[in-house]
Amino acid sequence: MSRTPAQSQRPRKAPVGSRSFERRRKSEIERAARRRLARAQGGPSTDVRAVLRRVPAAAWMCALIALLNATAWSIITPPFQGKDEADHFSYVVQLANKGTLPKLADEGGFGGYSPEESLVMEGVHYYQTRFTPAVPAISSMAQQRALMEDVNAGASLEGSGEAGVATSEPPLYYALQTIPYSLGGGNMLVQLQLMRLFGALLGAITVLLTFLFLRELLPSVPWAATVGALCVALQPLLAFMSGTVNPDSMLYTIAAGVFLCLARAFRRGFTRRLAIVLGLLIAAGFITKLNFIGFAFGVFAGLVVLTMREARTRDRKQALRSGALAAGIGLAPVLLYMFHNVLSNHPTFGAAAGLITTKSLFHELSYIWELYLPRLPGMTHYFPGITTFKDIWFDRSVGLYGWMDTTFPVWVDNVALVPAAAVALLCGRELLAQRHALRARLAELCIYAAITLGVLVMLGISSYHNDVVIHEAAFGEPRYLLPMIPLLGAVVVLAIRGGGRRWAPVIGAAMVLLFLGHDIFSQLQVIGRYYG
Amino acid sequence: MRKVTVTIVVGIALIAAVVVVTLTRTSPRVLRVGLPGGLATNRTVLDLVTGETAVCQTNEVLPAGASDIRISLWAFFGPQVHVIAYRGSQILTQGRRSADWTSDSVTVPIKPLNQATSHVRLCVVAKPNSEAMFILGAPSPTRKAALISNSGTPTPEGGVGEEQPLKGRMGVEYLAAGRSSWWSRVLSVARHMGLGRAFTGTWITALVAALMTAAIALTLRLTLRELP
Repeated sequence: MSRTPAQSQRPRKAPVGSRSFERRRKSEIERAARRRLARAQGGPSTDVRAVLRRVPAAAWMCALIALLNATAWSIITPPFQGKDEADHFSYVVQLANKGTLPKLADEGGFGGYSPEESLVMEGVHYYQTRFTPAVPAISSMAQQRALMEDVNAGASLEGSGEAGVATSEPPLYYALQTIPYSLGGGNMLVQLQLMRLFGALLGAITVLLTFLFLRELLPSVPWAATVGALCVALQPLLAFMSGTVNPDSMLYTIAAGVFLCLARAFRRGFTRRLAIVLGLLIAAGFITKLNFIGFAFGVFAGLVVLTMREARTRDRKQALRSGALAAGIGLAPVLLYMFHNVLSNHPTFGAAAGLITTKSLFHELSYIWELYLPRLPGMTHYFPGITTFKDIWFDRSVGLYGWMDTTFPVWVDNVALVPAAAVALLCGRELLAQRHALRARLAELCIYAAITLGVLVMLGISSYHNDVVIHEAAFGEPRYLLPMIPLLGAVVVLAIRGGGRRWAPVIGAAMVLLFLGHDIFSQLQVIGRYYG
Repeated sequence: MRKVTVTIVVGIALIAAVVVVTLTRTSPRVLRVGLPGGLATNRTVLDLVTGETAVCQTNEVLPAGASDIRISLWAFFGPQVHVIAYRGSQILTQGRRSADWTSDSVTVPIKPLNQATSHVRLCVVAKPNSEAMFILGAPSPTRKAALISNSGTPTPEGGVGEEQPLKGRMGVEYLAAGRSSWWSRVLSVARHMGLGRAFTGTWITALVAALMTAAIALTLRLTLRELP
């Protein structure tokens, strides 16, 4: 019988004691020793497949659930009805077709979208539907035919060179989005859907990283990480944002990656490899969305703490090298950008420069305080009649979809206070019970708090500038807080543990169902608004 | 494990029951539009205000059974809105909507009247307020135009010195509960969902349902498998 080529190529087993057997044995022992050493140092394996194999099946399942959920949201939300979606799309069109970044108009405001995008937006009744809950998406075959004519009109893709509110954003997310854009052929609606699916994929990765973060944070109850990640996967605002074209979705993924790296560094040591990964994530964050600046303050504080800890407990030189490596890689794009600005006679900090000017530091601080907390005596009343922490942050977290025009009735927001209070109480109970253990992790917790504070302050500064300085609207959208979604997962996990060993599984199951119900009713609300 | 199973069964039953009940409700229908064409076609900016404001317009007809009034106001952080309907010096009905709405219209629930009433002076009070808010509507002769007062205090009769006419009449719609439940409209909603995309058809709704069914099934399976 003749041998198949596969059989003939199979290496023959070397006899025991032969030179090749010894050589192979030696190299296997060396590889195993290297793996053991890497594990002991907390360093990740170089083999990507091995790393992926180590990810628990439950994490993949959670990611798959997030992908399915965000994909459903991407179909439910009508084209361009995601927040600022038309502007983000226009950025990608500019980058893909002209290979250049959008430019800010010198004066006179936004010059307009490309003729093709304008036609398609007209075809889907973008302006009539946006902000207008009483007007649904297009609803007749005649309107559909008109839309198809617009899509196939072959109008020019050359716009004004701007991308609306997205113009000043950095390019990484948009550069990646040119891939699904080019796969969509010449049909703008297909391109938009493929770009939304890319966002859904990012949502799935966010959930995967959140799972690993939670497992790292609380390894003693592995199933709690599954529940936390499931709740994040079913969180409707994350799914909605991931299902539309918006760089926020990539910012969430990067933020989840940063949280995971920090948690690993605090537990397993700040290794060189971890420093490189963290540095790359920081760099990616800076070139994904300007909002990352706020997030980065806490991360850099984390780098300082990690370096000091590492220097105290392990090798001082190695610790300093890791800290410098992460900071250097992370800051590289910022320094390059500033250098480029200086050379080209632009403001050194680019688009962020406008935020630095302030009318009065006290007023700005008062504004930032009031954006989240009740006004204190002596502060100017910036939000009269609005309880910001409830009306803006809580109610809008319960539901704010579409072009900010799809919400639940007010009574739903009030009912939602009950489960939210229960979760907060259980979480508080667990924190209180574990206060001695928490003391050992105080530095790590302070870093997470610093990251959150950085995001809140950055958002407050941007809002103050837009609202008070240039008299436009305040920034009160919970989507800006979603980079901290891994911490929401942690709150869920703590709440579960707060129920005690006996009731923890029941609370976990109830929590998953709570998020599932929230997701389903949010989808129904959006369906009712656009197609009812 | 048994407790988790019971929790899941009860939870799913509860979600299903609330979905069923929700779908028996009706979506609101427009009883009467204040301006021909309704709010969707009357979007002229009559004024931009940033403080406390009261806008009143006369000669409104309040239909019997109207449970909500939808007013053409655009805001990012909408203020608290108080609607008062006067006939002479008498308050016919009124209602309030809490702050923080974002849209180009705000819907305020009111107590329905048993019979239609004409010659109504409708006042909309946005108070307190510090955010920008656009008043939208359609141009009209000055004698028919809405009147604005920056004091934020409406008067039943009007004619107070500080009231200034706007460029036209504010958009108003009177709403009542619809007649057909969401259940009876499931097919039309499913057909509607299939429009406005590159590919058309009711299969798009089926695809969304399949995606969510798969997500729910995986969620339940994972919860049952992982939880002790």
